[in-house]
Amino acid sequence: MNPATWLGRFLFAMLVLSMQGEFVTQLGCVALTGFDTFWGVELAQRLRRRQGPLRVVGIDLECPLRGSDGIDFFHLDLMDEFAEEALAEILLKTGAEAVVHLGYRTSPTRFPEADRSLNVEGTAKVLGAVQEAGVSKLVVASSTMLYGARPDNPNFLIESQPLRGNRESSYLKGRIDAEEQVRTFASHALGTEVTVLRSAWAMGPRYTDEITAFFSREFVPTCLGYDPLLQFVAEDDLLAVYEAAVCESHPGVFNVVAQGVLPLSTLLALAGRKRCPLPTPLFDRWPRLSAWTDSPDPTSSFYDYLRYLWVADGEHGWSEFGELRYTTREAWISFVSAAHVERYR
Amino acid sequence: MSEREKVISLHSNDLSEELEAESLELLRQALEDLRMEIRTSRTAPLKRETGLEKIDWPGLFDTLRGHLSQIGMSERSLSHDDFGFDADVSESLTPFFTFLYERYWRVRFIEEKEVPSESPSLFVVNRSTLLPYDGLMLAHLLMNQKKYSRPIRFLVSDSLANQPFFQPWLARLGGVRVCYENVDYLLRSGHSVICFPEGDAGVLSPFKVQGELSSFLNDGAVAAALKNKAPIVPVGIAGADETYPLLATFLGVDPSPEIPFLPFLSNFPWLGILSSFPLPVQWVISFGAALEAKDFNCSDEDSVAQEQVHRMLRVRVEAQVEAAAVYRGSVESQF
Repeated sequence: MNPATWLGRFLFAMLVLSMQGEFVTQLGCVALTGFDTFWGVELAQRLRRRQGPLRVVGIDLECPLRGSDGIDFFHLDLMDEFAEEALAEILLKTGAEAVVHLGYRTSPTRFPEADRSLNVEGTAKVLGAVQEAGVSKLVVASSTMLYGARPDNPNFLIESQPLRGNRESSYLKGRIDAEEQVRTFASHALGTEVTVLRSAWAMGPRYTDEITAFFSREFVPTCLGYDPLLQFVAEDDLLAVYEAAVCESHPGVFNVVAQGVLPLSTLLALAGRKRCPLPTPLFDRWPRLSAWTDSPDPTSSFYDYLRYLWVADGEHGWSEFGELRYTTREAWISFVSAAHVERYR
Repeated sequence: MSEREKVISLHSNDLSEELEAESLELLRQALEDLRMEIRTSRTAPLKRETGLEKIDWPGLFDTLRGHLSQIGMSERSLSHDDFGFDADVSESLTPFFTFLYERYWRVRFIEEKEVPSESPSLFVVNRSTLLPYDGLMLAHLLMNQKKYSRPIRFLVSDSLANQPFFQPWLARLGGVRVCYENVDYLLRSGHSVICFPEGDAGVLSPFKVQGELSSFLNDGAVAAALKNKAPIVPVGIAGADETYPLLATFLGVDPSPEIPFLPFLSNFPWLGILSSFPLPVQWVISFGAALEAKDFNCSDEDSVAQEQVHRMLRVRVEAQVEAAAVYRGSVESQF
């Protein structure tokens, strides 16, 4: 056959592929640590179902009961001594090209040493394994909580602000240490592109964690005389940003927050929940009040987040990932209405 | 055509809008009549007994309930902006501020030159009242009396910005914590900013040395204005320092780590809650000529040059305070 015809066909195929948007992403396999979490399962299913589906490797202690079909599951304990070698072996064996690190505690438990061992040493092991296996992309989930709620915060925290956390919370200290490791890794590792996504508290119809449980109470304790501005991010938006970070190239640190802020009193009025303002010195005497019930961290380290400003500036993230679909208000309302329906299920 | 279809066609044709309005009016009338009937039937026996005109309790109850539901609605306000400023609240408080402005403090203003409103500008003011009434009054003056076209925010010092009960209200009325990032963000988004570079020292000076400005703090407001090339307007307020005459301060006494000083005023703390009311003295506000960014010719990173700018601004603001005080004296002598 005529070589010109072949060239024409090849060009046409390239055109079609690029129009479908598949030509850009030629990733084959993505590994998720912390697969048995809401974010792990949802993100895995998203990546598996997208146009130009990816092979997804889920890594966790246990295989989730729901949502693990079509996903290769590997058992691994990040707190284990040889987790780094085991993880590197899995990554090499499956040929993973991107790793999403979701395996950390979203809130403190009653075992601070175990939390620290998972959050700090677990992250170190993941970083080591990523370097050993030569993975080209690493996406790390983080939180805007790490900036810390402090009275001397500016109204909008940008990505270059220092992570100050809370003086008394060992959990937040561990998370900050983990992120410091990721930062040093990103500046030294040459072959790996690192994306750190600092998200605000996620709200949505399906997502549940300690924070949503706290806001689902009939009486929500608040700080007497304080009414800070809060911001959230919708769960769908956060998943879309995770997906974009995996499939496209976005190196750097980004705040992932929804547009708009709302005062706590307005949020609770919208939800129809009763506010229960308590004087701030009372909190440390009554640990069951906080969302971090069992943790040895002082209760006030959580209530600082309902007392001072810790709103992050999402400008940088929006310019990189595009505007998010839902505002803070919409995210909150979707959470509230789902929680309302929950009663009738 | 069945009955139902007729009804549907009646509702869907062009007449329906007029009909709807008419029927709504009728319905409203009927409801009003019904309400009146119920009320009269309820109050009638009382009338018969005493023969006196009774207070319309159900009506009062209705209005009260309306007001109460309004209070609940204000929490549901959707007019918050990114800094927590609530346009609804400030609008509903405008009559109160007008009262304070016109009747209580009888504010007069003089200006050297028209205040520029083409670009967001920074107003540098002497701090003189304990609570940020000076910022509120200046914002009120610019917004309502001078029809200034830009949104205006005033800066609040650290010691007040995070006090319980003050924090939510200051945010709703347009107060922003003073720091470089906030001022930069405000100026970039087209807001004009009122700043008090004296900080807490302005209110801490004892009563006898009022009128003399303490040194300006390097709180980032001026630096942000220089970075954004915003015009800087020196403003002097005379008389506002007498709203809370300060007798003494106990700097050593820390009620809490966030309150740096405990003020002793002529009426605080002896009069309890009454002492939070300011005294009705006359204020005069004097606006100076705006200083353009090119007048300074210094970058926002040069700290030595900034120090000079601070000193220069302090002289200008002092001149404005003096002008305002002179005018105030002349006004007072008229009475």
